[in-house]
Amino acid sequence: MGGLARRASFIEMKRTSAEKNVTRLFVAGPYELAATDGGRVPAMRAPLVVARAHAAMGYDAMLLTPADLALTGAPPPKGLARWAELPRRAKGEVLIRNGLRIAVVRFPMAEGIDGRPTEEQFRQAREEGIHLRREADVVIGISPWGAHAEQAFLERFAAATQPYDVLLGGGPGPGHSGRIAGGGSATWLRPYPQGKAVQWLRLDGLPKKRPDVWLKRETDVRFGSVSLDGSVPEDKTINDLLREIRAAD
Amino acid sequence: MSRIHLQLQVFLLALASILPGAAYAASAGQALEIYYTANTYGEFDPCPT
Repeated sequence: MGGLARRASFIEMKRTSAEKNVTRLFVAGPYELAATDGGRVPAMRAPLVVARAHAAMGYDAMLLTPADLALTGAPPPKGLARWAELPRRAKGEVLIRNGLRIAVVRFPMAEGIDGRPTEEQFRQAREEGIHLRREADVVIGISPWGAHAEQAFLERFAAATQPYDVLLGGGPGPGHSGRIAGGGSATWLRPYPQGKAVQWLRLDGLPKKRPDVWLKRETDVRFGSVSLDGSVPEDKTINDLLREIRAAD
Repeated sequence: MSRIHLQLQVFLLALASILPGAAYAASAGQALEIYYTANTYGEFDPCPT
């Protein structure tokens, strides 16, 4: 299961199979290259090659952690350089895709006790989401905070307007195939580990979605997960690239 | 300035005021699909399970 060559092939297939009125965004979250505990990982055998493979994916957005960046080389490959500057505060940009204004906010590393975000980081991430909502149709956050902190962040605003429509999680904690969270008006995705699957989420009825309206599963939002098993072909370019590592073993 | 020139100027001004908005205006009834990966932990080849 998994593998970057299959992921590349899947992304390319989705990118090139257009569907009317559907915008597709490809996002990579934290710890694509490194482990959360700093332990030894396969990419360490040839980190620059793995970094080049990720760069070739052409992600629309990515959150690299300091541990990831330690493996990408300096400067990182061209396709990753855009995300090489670590966000010290939650920091967003608005992407325009098919007229949709999509705000993507990269969260900073947690700076609190026991690796948790501080209250100030919660407050500032919320402010950034609210600020970008004024100029975007959808607001997405990418977090390295871990499942526990992400859930706490979403629940904090359960009784108020959610700053984010979508929270893409990462870091410690279990994965899941997608939840409506934070009182019902936000969505939350957590990845399964080791890149064995690509999680997906679909928001319908844009750009009219309001942040204070509860989402209905199968009507407003759908979740899914595509296992990268043998039925997904391997991309030849990425496979050739990774062959360098296999040959060196 | 002739009448035709004036009409052309008004048309161009109207077009200029519309275009920036059009570039950012999404039509109704759209869907956004987000494909997401993270926590891959440096795995680059398929895992056995």
